[in-house]
Amino acid sequence: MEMNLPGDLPPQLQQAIGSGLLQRLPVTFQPFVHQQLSEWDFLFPNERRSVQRLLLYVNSLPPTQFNALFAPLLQLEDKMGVRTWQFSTTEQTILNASLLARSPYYQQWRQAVQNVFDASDAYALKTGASVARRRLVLLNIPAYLPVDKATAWTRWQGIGFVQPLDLSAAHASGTLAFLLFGEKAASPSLLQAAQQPDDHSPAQAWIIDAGDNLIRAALQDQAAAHSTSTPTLLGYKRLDTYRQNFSNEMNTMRRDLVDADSVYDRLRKVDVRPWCPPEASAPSIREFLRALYLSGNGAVIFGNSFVEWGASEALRRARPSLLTAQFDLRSKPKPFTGVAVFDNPDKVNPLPSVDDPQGSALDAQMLSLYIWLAALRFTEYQHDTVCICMAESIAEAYIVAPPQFSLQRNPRPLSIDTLRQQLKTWLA
Amino acid sequence: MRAESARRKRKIIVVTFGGGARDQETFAPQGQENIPNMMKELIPQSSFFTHVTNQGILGHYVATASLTTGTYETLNNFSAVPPDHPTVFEYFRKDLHRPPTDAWVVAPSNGFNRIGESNCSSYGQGLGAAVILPKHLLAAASSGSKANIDHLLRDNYENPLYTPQLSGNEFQLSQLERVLRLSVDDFTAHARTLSSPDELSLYIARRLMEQEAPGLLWITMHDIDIAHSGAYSLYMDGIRRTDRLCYELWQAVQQNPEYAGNTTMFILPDFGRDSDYDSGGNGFQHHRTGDIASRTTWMMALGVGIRPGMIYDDPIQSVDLVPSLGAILGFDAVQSSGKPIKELL
Repeated sequence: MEMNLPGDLPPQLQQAIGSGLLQRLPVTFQPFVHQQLSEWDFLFPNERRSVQRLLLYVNSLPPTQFNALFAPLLQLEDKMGVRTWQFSTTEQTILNASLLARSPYYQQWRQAVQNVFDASDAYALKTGASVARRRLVLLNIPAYLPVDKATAWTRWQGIGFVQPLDLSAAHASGTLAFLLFGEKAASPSLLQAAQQPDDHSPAQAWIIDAGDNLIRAALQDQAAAHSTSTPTLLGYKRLDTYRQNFSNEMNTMRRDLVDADSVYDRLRKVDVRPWCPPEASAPSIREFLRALYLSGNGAVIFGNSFVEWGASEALRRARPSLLTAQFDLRSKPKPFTGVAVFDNPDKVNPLPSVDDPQGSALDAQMLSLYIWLAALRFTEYQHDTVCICMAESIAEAYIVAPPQFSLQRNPRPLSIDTLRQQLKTWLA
Repeated sequence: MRAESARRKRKIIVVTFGGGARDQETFAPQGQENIPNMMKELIPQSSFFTHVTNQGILGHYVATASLTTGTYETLNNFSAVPPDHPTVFEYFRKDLHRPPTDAWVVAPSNGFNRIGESNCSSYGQGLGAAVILPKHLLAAASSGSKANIDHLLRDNYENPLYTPQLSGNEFQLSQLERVLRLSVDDFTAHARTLSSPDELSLYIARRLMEQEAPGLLWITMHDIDIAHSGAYSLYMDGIRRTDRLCYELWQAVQQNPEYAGNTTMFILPDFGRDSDYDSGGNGFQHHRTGDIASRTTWMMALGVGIRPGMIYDDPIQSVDLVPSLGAILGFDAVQSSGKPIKELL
């Protein structure tokens, strides 16, 4: 199938595609590749590198190796009867996903696809195309979410250690804002330490906030020119307009259209630019948010789900050096609106909202672990990454770190300033 | 003669503990605090099967359809289509010559409206169960009023982008008064005192038991599926609520002379949810990976003919339920791929 390629594809990639590479790929492998190429302008640098690496790797294989790599997948496609399906090769659709999931060979198919990616990743490691660097995942459960000290870290199953914290220095600004922006002007901030000399993309550092305090602090910091770094900033509350308009489109479209792919297709084309706050107006971020809202993971519903899923997707797609996430408070579901979570509960039910600090704290505890588990799925985070999850209400952090991280378990509370210095040293 | 009479009086209730709960939040040691009613009140009366696997497609409609047919159905989870194989309701009604009023389904969302009857040519039309969709009923009952509760019907947690249009054997509003003996006003007023759709389902089920006393009643719970929204605490609330509702249903059975002493009740999730550690999922949120946690679950059986206090660890499959019901009630689930569970016979 002919496709319009973006003009700024690297020449090597254009050459590989021009030589008919895409047509040689198995049918069920093509939607992913086509979609990545058609969305090239919206991809993060890591994704571009990854697609390029994959396609150049398979294109470099002699025919026997190429056939051997894809043979298991092709055999499965035969067994599944893919050629008789109404299967889109140009994009990933809900119908495609449904057809694959209904096949008894679905699990084997998933594994066969994964094996191709694994082979490409292994080749990248062997050839030095993938560079190791130190990384940091920094998570915060704010003071107003009551965490039970006795059970706070049991879900982490002993993979790290508990460190008492002295948060007094950060009291006014909030712990994360202090860690990220509280440095005196003369000294490089934690954000600057995370900036890689060879990569100034905003995708290298992410700050994701279920509220808006942290994002406002980041914007103030930028405005005051204390920081030369420009991280990616996503604030659930600052995205209210985007989210509510998008949600409204979702709810009003459904009655008119005949199937999920039609709805999905239209939502992919809705012009979201008028709804974006300035920090989310870059095309890659705008489209990242659209994909997040379309994914059905609660990102349009709850701030903490937005944070977790946003962070997981940022880790998967952008592989940042620094990922910072802060959870927040949500309201209790109103009676009988448990079913209406895709609507604004305040519109559905006029009763006043009631905060749910206990429920929000439980959500945050589980979802903070999920962010770290999401990171661990990728080689980049398996060896040289420190993860710190702070629970302000009990003045503790749970720290998962490789042996080379200098901070060790200490029964005495660690000042937040000392923690910041340790983290800067780590990233630098 | 007496045995035949007892068999005709026999009632079966199946509750799907849904939609989808993991062992670790239910019967595994760390989850037992979430199901106090089942642990303290029901399990001592039950035969409990610790290892039930679902080898089918892990979508709620298709999986529940598979439970009702005893065959792993392959229909599109997001389509309003009937199952391909005969349902337990059709075996029950055709083989045992039961009237339409003797088999009912109370189901959570629009997608389930075709679950009562297959499109199998030798069974199918007119032989299935009537399906009540309580929220649809509530929305219909409230149409024309000032209250806008259309949102009740946007309830597909698995795919928020699509809700199938209703067609087929849905419950008509006129039956509210004729079958349930409820006025629209009483029904809507009572519904507004409830906090969740599954509470409404239980209310309808109890009403059905009082008015029609069906021999085969299937109730599909769904509150737990709010897990798709990513709020772990609400998922846990859903489990606790479903635990309470199962107990309340069993109490209702004991208080209803048509059911007390005649009833066997089965409680089982349609499937589990993804493990925290499977890279293809997002833990409790979904059931997409097909990993062990999402395929392995449990079943509780209690009441007439059940050995209380028994725990069985041998693996069974979720499709074994229908042939087991056939063996208990005296019908032959000929097209089921499961086999009767010997511990229930």
